[in-house]
Amino acid sequence: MLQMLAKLLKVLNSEAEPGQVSLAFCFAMVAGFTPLLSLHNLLVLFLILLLRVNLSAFILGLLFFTGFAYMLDPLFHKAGLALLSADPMKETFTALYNNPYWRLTHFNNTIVAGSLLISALLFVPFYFLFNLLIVKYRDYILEAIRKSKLMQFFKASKFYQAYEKIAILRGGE
Amino acid sequence: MKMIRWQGLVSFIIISGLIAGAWLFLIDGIIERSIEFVGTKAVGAKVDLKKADLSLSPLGLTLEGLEVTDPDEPMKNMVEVAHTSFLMDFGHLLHGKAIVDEMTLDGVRTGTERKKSGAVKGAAVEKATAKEGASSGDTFSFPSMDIPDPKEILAREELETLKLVDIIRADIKNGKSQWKERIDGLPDSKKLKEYKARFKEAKKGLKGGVLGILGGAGELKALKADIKKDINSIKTARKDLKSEIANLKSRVAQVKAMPKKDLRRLKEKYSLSSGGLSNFSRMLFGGKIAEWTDTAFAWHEKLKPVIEKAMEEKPATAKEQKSERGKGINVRFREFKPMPDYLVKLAKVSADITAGKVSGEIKEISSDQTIRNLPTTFNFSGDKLEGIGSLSIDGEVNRLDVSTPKNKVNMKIAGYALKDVVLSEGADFPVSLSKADSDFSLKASLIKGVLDADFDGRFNSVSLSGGDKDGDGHLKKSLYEALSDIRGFSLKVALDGTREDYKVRLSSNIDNVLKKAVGSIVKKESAKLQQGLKSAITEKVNGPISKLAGDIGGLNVFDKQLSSQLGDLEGLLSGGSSKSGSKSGLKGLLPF
Repeated sequence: MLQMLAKLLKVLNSEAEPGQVSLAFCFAMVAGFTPLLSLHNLLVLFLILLLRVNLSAFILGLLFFTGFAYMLDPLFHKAGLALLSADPMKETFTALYNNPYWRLTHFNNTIVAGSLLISALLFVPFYFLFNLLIVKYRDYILEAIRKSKLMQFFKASKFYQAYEKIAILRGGE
Repeated sequence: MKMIRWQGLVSFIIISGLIAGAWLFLIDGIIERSIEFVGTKAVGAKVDLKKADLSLSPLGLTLEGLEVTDPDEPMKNMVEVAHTSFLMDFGHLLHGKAIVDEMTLDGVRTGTERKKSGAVKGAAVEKATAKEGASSGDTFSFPSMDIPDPKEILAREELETLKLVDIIRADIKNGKSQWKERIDGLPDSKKLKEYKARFKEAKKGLKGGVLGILGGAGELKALKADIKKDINSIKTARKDLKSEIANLKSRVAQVKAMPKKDLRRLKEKYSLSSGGLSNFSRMLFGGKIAEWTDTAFAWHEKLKPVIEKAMEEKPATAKEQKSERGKGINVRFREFKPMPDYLVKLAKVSADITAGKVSGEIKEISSDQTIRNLPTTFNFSGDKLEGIGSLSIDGEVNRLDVSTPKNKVNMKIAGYALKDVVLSEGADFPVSLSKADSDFSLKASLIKGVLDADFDGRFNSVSLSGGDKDGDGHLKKSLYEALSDIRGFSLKVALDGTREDYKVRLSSNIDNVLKKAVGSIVKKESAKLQQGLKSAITEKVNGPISKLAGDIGGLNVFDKQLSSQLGDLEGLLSGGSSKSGSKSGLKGLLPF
């Protein structure tokens, strides 16, 4: 747990572009909210590897959002059922349903449809929100913490040693 | 900043390649275990598969050594299929539907031995409980061919006559004590003396002046009223007693007619009537037919869960389904070309039976027959079989109307050589069909659990045998002789009803042959038994019946007693001589 928190801090405190970290969190939200073995997650994996997003942030985000998804299951089901039962979409979904490749995506499953809909709707707002939070964190909180006496004391703790250890192993990113 | 990470693309290709490689490497094992798991769950007993092999181009599956355990006999396989192969439609498979155009099943065998038990915990208990509840419809047993000794019959049988005698005797005994009690409550000699004393006192008063006369007259009037009241009580009691005696006499008369009824009942029970012989074929073949019917029902019960599970109704709309946590529900949309979840359009089957190879086809094995509006049909035939001239079986499993499940089968077998078939195993009359050439047809349907079957058979070159012809009595000897002379017979069987309660109607020309052969012996033996029973019953019931008359006579004593008491009181009232010798009475003493 300590190491996980240390990893998160490491990512936040690194010189990585805030956009790379935010995008990783957003992709993690999509993969974490939706059932992991869905076909669209292959596309997410492809984009994660192809685009320069922070992989550590993605893995941490995936763990967080997967755990959180369990609580949101009833919401995903309701949203998915509403979407799939919507009359204006009926013809489109019927056409997709009759296409074998679209059937592989399990789009007609209420959890898949609901979680994908919600994570897609939240993708862009969350990207900017995470970006903003990271920038603000680095500008104000990180600097203030670094200079505080508490931090000086903290640097001598085991937690900080773990954080340092990871930083060394990662080549001081 | 560069947006693209090219080494990431390489990583993706490598990861995807590894996943695809692992899938190809593991898929055969996954299919094998999936078939075993799903099969075991559906059958309720272990399903084993030696090998599964998936080919991608063309997409197909080959299964080797499929063994399905018999849930009722875990050391036997219900079905064993040596080799199964089929091609699947890739497009439909992506839809999650297994559509097979043609399937081949080779080396199908039933009832093969297993090396290890195929029992599954829990399922076996359920099956055993279900089996206990099931029972065959009619049971068949041979009547005894020995004419028993009448005295032995009476030793173990209760006679209705004697039962009635005991009841009447108890009633008489009870009646006697009741009458004794009632007579004790009526005026007796003591009361008579009291009346006489009152009479004397009243007479004295008549001599004592005007007041005395008036007082004496009043007393005499009261005395007369009391005596009249007592006389009436005794008369009523006497009337009741006479009525009771008459009733008992009538019941005794009924008892005298009872031995005839006992005789008829015992004769029917212990003699072999010609009516029984007219249904000899039922006794001879009935047991075997019940056994075969139970086997057919048992097979239907075994296959039922597999068929029913495959054709389970699915909820029509998404709202009717219940969302499972973490899984959601799959909403179904209209399909342009609807197909059931699985469909085998044609299965070519080659089965190995003891007589040889039987081959055939099964069409439209489907999870939902209503989609293509076609029932599952099958036909099998064999013509180079050992001991069977030709065999053909066809039928259908129809679930087009889900509320009325229909199963039909027609079977025709010609030139079937029967050998050493035990028809009756009982020690009383064992019969075996040593050999016969048979041709028969069977038409059966099971609609909503109700069986309707017709069997029509012709048996030629027959040899029936059984029992010790020399050691048995007349009747058995004649029956065995008649049976051994039979060279051919026909048999018609009609069955209808449910598994728990079915009726069998059976007819054969064998009945007439046997009736003719042993009819006169049966009549003679029956007459002999009747005579013996009549004498034995008479001997047993005569004593108790005559004793009953004596017991009723005991009630006449009360009548005499009542008559005497009545005479005394009437004598006192009339002034005539009474039994006690009094010559003076009330008559003439009163002016009113």
